[in-house]
Amino acid sequence: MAGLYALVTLGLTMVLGIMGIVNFAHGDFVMLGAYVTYWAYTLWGVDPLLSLPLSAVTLFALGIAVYKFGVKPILDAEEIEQVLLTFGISIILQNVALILWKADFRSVTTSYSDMSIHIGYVSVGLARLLTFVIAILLTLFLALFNRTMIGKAMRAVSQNRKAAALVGIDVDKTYLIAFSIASALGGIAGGLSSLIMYVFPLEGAQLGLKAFAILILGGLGNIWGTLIASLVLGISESVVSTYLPEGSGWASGLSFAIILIVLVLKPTGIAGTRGE
Amino acid sequence: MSVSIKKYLWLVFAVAGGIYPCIAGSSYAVHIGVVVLMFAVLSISFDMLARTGQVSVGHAALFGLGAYFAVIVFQKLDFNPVLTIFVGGVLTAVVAAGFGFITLRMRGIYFSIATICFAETLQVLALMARSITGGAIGISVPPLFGGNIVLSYYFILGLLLLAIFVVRIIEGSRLNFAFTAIRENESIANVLGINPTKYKVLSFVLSAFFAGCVGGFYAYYITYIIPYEVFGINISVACLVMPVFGGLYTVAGPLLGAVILKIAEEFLRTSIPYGHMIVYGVILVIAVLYMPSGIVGLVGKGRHENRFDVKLTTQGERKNDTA
Amino acid sequence: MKTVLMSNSLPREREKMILLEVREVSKRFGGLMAVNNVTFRVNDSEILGLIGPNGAGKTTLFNLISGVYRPDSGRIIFDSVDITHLRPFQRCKLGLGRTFQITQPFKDMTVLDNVATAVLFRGVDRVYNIEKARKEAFDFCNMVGLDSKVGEMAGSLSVIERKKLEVARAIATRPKLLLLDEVMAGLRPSEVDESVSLIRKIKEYMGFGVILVEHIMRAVMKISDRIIVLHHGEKIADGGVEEVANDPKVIDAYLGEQV
Repeated sequence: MAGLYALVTLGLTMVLGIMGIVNFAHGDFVMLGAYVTYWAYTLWGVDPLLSLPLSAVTLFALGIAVYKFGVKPILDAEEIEQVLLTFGISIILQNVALILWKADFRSVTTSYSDMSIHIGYVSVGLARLLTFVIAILLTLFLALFNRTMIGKAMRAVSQNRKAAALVGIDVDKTYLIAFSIASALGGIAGGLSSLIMYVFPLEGAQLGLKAFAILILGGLGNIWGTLIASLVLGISESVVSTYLPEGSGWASGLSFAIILIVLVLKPTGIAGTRGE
Repeated sequence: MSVSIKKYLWLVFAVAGGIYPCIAGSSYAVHIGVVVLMFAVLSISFDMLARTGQVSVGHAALFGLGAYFAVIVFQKLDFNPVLTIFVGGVLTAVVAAGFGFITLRMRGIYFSIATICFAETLQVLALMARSITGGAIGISVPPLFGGNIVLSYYFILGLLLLAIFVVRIIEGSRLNFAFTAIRENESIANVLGINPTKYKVLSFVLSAFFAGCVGGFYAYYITYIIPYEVFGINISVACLVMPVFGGLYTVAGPLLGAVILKIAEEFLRTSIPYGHMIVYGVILVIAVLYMPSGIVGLVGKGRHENRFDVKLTTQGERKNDTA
Repeated sequence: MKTVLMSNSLPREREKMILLEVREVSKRFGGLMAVNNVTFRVNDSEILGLIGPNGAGKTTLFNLISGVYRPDSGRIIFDSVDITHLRPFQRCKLGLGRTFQITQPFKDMTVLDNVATAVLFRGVDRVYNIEKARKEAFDFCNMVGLDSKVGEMAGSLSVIERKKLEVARAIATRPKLLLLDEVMAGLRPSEVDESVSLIRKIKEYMGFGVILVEHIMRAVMKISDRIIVLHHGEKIADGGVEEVANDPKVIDAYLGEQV
């Protein structure tokens, strides 16, 4: 699970780090990715792993649209407006999904869905392991990507927008690409999620909240912190689920508790910049 | 809009609100009135909190708390239901004060995230603490005023009037300056002698009291409460969209937002299930992009520039087309 | 008045009230020592200039004095009260006012109300009545030359008007000590002169001490009674205008920056 959480948070981190905007709708992008995979599988029998690119592309396109019409206008707006906007988009996506596909839980079962790998004493679900591996791969990929021209542009823009512009970087396009890639990442996460958990419209909200927890726990815009925090969350959820009576009920509340606790102690998150 | 027209409109509104149950055709119509008024109070409650820059995306937390407190007090102490509603409101305010203190240093987005967590955590708690809250099944209570819907209407109307009264007092006092200053720039307000803690917690307490009372009222009105409903995100969203749509930091805004959207929702609800939520989402997006000051802003002086007129050129500079 | 010798460059000032005393204050951010063991005093009727190359720690020092940051060590004593652990609003109530380098007016309020806010929440001559506050606010606006703009929304002002608003807002708190943070940055030379005489005038009229952070040397030299120089967070000079201007350490610090 940690792998999935990490993957989900990756896109969120990217947008936050580069553009400074918290995308409340990111979880719902993931959800859409899951549905793309689900329908590809159900309608055309495409294996989820193969349809990952499809999810990525779809969400990339959606990302472009959302950026153009929703995010760009509010880049300089007050925080409250940014919150409201992305939140609004989140609601729209969630409920469109609800209408189109009903609230049912659906699942994607493939030949290898139930397979597990045994590592030492622990048996890990194949799908989850795969997700985790992909998460790490993508993280590495992103780290490398930072070295490319576009990646450098993104870093420049994230540090100082005006300066970057003065050096000739097309800020708008950079943001556009960043946001779309982040959305695509969300799509991939969604596709993989279909193998691990049920597919349902509100999964976006659920995953989104966990992603927030990870963001806050692992430090904003910090890619490796994200991975670590994901592990922490994933493992603690399992522990709570297994060892506490009625654990699963409490486990779902774990991410909220984490968020609250961390925020109380460190209102700017663990790796936040110096406050005030 | 001139002052006298405004006053006239208020009068019309007030009278209409007052005699509504008498002219409404059916008890269903009165019911709609009750729901509209409920959300009107909730909108004002959200707005009260927003005036200090604290945007709560989890207002349902306060609503639900009020509901549960009222009901539990009723069960354990057997007070008069109406009394329990106010007790519930006070208890909610107390909890909110606590929550307000711990979220003091959270700026903007983090505060909002924390409020979502607040609502969700409460929901989980309500689900798990079965002995007190009845878990997923919830609690049932006898109907308010023996089911007399007209009396319920006037009760909630009274609550609304109280809320409006409180807001007017705030607006006419130096509290308004403090709230606005804190909202605009907390550090500077601090340096100017304004104690952010005092005023932020105060706005939270006031906001929570009213939201809690509505929660308690709701419990008796529909005679039962369950965690998914009272802590649900749908309520939080409504509490949020209505005042934003209507126009924040005003009295008329939240009211208008509640009235317009709730009535529209009732019409839509019958046609498409979940349709009304999408509409809320769309309205929220549109409001942020095109009407930052809400309906009130459109009718009055439009203070903020239209977002779409501001283009992000390749220079990263903002260029205003309309200027 | 016997001075406790912290450094031998403290000027001999007798018969004047010590308004602010900063004692061995240090502040570190991560690995960077932003303010390092700084000690100085301000008397109640003087204008103290605070200068230093970029990054010397001037704004940090201001933030420490006004309460936005807490010092890691050292003490700050204002008007005989140890304010080291007081929050900004408490310091304001005691008579400490400040402006900000990047002007930050309350955009959702009119110019008048911006100043009125300051009137309503200060510690001296408390005013609770809004009408009264606005009246007084108008006088302050007048003082800085903003009287024609009082009804405008604060967000629509020009740069120099915003600076005036910052000042008006700060003095409306009736401070005993006013911290001016680069009030003149971005102004034209004529406007700079205007500001210098304005500050002098207001100070005489209201009778407070001033600490002025500025990069515009001409202005600082003209207006300050005394000057303190910071470099890399440390105080490297403290004395009269002439003395400091000719101090080789100071010249060195500034020249060093040009490399």
